[in-house]
Amino acid sequence: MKLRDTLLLITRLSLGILFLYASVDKILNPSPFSDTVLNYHLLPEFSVNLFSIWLPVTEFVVGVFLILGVWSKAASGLIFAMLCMFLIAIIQGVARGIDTHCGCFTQGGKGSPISHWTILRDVGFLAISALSLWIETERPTWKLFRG
Amino acid sequence: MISKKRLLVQVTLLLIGSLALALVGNGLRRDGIPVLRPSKEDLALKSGITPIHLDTAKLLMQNPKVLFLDARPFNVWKRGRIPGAISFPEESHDSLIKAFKDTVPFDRPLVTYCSGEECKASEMLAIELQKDGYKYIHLFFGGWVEWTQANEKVEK
Repeated sequence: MKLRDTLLLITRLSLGILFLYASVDKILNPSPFSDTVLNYHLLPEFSVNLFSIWLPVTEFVVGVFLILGVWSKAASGLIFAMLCMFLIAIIQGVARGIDTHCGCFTQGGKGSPISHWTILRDVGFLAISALSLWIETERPTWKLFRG
Repeated sequence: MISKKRLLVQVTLLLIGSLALALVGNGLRRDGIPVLRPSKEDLALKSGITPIHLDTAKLLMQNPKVLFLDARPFNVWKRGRIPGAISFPEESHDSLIKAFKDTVPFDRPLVTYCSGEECKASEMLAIELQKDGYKYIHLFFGGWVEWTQANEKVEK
């Protein structure tokens, strides 16, 4: 397998699994997740629930598409866009001193409050996502295994 | 190389498909949430609790019949509170309610508050007290943050 294909496989699987994992708790707990979204003070209150229902399913769907390597450029682009959005939300939250939990992977006040470490972690994810977007070839994952 | 047009179509389909799936899933599940979030005030009004803002809170504070309840943790209450407010941390409701019922009549007007609009403790305490039988409960949304930002008197 070529180095590019190996890299692509690693980035697809790592980001895909990350987004699938991140979506599960949000899908299972829509009400606490909507409270977390509200706490970021970025969206009008009436729109918070719609966003909270939509976002985790999008994370799940693009995670599956990226792992399979189907419409992978589009899935990769959406993951990059979502990570940018999360990063902006967290940076403004830290800058404004909002005392809220990230809500990135767990809901209901579990996990650590947002901090500079959360920003650093998301920058790391964003770097992997940028690499994934850059090297994306649109070849399905099962074909990558065949070389 | 995928064309930009095709990429845009795929992105749109992924987003619309996810939205459709999300809405159907939310509609079918028992713990689904309203698609448009009702405001805290609407929720409070529907539950029979009166939402109030700073001006009303200031007026009620001057009335000795009204009892302010601080739903934040006890150690936070100790550091500063709205004058006359007693500590009633929402998480300690079950252990405090018996003594509270023995001393505070059910028709006494109550005001619950916590840190500010972000916290839920005052709302949850108000709902618990309503279930306990208290008739006149006011929920001060702005809470401690709004009170102190307006430079109102505090008690320490």
